[in-house]
Amino acid sequence: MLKKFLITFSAVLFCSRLISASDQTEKIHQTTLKNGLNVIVIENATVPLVTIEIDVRSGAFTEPPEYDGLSHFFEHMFFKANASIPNQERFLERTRELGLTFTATTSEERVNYSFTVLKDSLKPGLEFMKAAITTPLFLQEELERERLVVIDEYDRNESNPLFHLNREVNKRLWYKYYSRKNTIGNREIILTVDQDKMRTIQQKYYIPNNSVLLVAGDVKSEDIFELAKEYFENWEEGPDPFEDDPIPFHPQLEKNETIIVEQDVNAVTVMLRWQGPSVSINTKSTYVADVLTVILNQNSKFPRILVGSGLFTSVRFSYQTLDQKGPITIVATTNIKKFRQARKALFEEIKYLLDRDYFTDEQIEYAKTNLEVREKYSWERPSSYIQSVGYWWSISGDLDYYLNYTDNIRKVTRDDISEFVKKYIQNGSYIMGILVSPEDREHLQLN
Amino acid sequence: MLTTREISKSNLIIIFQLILLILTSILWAVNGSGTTEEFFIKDLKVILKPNTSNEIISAQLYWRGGALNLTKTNQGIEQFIFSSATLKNRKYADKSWDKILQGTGSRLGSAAEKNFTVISLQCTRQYFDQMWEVFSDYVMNSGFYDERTEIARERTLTRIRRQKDTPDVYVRKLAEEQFYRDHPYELEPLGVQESISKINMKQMESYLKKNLKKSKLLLVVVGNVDKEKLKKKVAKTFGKISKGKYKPVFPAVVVHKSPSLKIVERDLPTNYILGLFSAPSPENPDYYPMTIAIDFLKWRLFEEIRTKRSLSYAPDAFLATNFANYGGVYATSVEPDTTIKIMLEELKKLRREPVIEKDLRDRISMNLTRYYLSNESNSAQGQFLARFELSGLGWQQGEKMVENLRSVTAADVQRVANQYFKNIQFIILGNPKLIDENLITLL
Repeated sequence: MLKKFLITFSAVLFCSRLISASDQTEKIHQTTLKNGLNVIVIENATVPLVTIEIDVRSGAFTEPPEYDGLSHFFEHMFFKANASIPNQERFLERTRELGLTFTATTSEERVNYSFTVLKDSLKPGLEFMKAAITTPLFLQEELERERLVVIDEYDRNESNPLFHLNREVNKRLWYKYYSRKNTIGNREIILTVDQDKMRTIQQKYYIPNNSVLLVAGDVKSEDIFELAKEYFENWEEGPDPFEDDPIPFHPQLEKNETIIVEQDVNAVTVMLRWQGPSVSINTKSTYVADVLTVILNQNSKFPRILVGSGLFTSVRFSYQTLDQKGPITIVATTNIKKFRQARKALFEEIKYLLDRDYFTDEQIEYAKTNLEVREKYSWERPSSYIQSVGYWWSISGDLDYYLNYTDNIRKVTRDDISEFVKKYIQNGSYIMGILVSPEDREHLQLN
Repeated sequence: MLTTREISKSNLIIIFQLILLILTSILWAVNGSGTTEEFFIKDLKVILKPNTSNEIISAQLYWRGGALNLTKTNQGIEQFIFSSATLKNRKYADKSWDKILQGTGSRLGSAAEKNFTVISLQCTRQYFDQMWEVFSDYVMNSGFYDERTEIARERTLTRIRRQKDTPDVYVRKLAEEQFYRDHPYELEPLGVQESISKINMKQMESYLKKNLKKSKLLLVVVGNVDKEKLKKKVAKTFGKISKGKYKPVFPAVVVHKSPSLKIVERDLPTNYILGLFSAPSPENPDYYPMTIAIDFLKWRLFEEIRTKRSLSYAPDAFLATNFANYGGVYATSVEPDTTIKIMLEELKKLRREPVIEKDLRDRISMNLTRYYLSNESNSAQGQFLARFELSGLGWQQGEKMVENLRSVTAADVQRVANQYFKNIQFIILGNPKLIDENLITLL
């Protein structure tokens, strides 16, 4: 059955026609097929293109240590032989015939595959997607070859100093189940990948009742629903993967820890990270986190004192929305001359976050407006907007989290923000990583 | 004339695709709402592309010249001006200006490139009037204060120093230095340590006064904007800037008479390879066949280096958009020597053998998808029109992109491959021991 969603807002700011996302959400339609496959259609005819995307609730969070990085490896195998396509060469040839551009990403709690075609190639595009997602062959020869490709991707990651900082901080923050936060995976595990492991992932997670099909662009929802039935209704559903094998919950971090990461770098980077809220358990806190993020990254005291004073050249606060404790992170860059003073000032500011006058009511309202307008900007690009919608679906299990996003952002109060800061930041334990060159470390006598 | 029986399956596909391409461009003209037009307001050229399909408005003010405006001692000055400037106008001075940006979710930014500097505004329609004042004030009434300038200086210096930290950024920097040596584009729009350390406020003020002239500017607006209202806004603000006598100057085409290979040692898990060669810029008719030739190269590298031999995760070929332009080949690999040899072989193959007609149509179709993808947002459409306008060809040429791509032939592709795929300037960031000394003889 076709459902239409419409969100209305009450104007809060400037008492003018406040921009709402309602026009956008009016153009988002969804249905569910008999086999449990969610289908979401985003009507946006800006350009004569159609983007077809499948999102699967898979990724690092499903990986015990012996599967560390294999969701990502699976993503690579999608672009190879399947029941309709004999090998990767033919797969690529078919993309050319269809004038199709493709992208795929693996993150902690979502794997997505995205095709963009001229709107006239919609049907062959859907057919191509169906074959790739439902009938991958995992040919041994292709597995062997892809291993080296993924290892080069791993090497590229390791060539980036920030990757090392991020990895060392995460290993300690998610100390018990690190593999479930480690998307790129473990080099040794990647080298041992085999067909059985690929099949296990496919049978467990690549089922319609754990996936969503999204179509965005110059389309009509009713046409897409019909086509979705035609192409995807025979995809066989499976048992709920999370019922038989629930995701273990990351235990609390008991104490603060500081680590030094040496790399060949020309600045000093400080990363502070806490365990943050989970979408299904602390839903409200995830909205609060987004409002706080905008406040702290814009013209509040936080950047004014830390960057405006010249102590840091940049400071970014962020929260990654996830269902399994999204991380709260501050990344700040300075130089060796200012490092000690800057680090001290950073902790001072974190202490002051609860002060009543640390940010104004006006700044809270501005942050909410910013988040709303950001939605407008993202709507402009259907090919990337579809990926955002898919992400929200994957981490929350349905579309409600996203469709009610702006409403819930509007409901955030000063007290909610204080509660969030107290619970997750001031009373929560953190890992601090300091990325520094060996020479600078010696100069600073960091231990 | 062909009879039905004589039409092969592949010809049918080609004809079908051609019909689709024609239909698609016609349909898009309908979806894209208004017609693009240009006009002058008190000698300032304005391009307006109406778009009623969303509420976003993009305004971009281009300051012509880019690296050609710079000298060794003032490299980076345009970027530095806009990263340290604040407003003199009391109404928008400092904090209240930031406040307006926050309160409206608007974005105001600047970027200095080799070809030009651009100051851009992105906002929603309801805040356009308010934001226009801020935008025009930012450009016309910039003031400089010690504290803010010093913070911007430190931030810029850190950014320059950190270019070495990320291999991808660093290899691109090294490759451009090598490619543009002894050319006006060797000057850095971001600046270098020496220049940014010394530029002072007085210099910035006099640079602005001397160089910010209407004859040097181009305004591009895309979105749901009333033309007459826009004209009034422009007249009231940018219209006050003096005209000046600037005549567009374009950099010479880069010519390398021989190939080169430079290895920069760095202890990394993999090696970064980047080779640049001269390429036609957007105002050159060869730009379209070159776009297709590069696309062929890109996919052949992907198949040969990644799919068949697993040598690299990210082999690539690309075409930049500079007025003195380059194309390039790129990969990361633990076997850089073998990877470069394959790159060279694929370049030669495109010079040697004409591409198959069916493959050509597929590539054109793929490029069309990419063209639309890169025109999804209003700001991207503005950038696209501006590049053609600033190249001296006129923005109208940008709107003929589909038509120009469609007319590329297999002979064109082979011709440009022969003309441009040579004298490649290679940079390798990684382990010199992995490179055969004789490799240079194969380039």
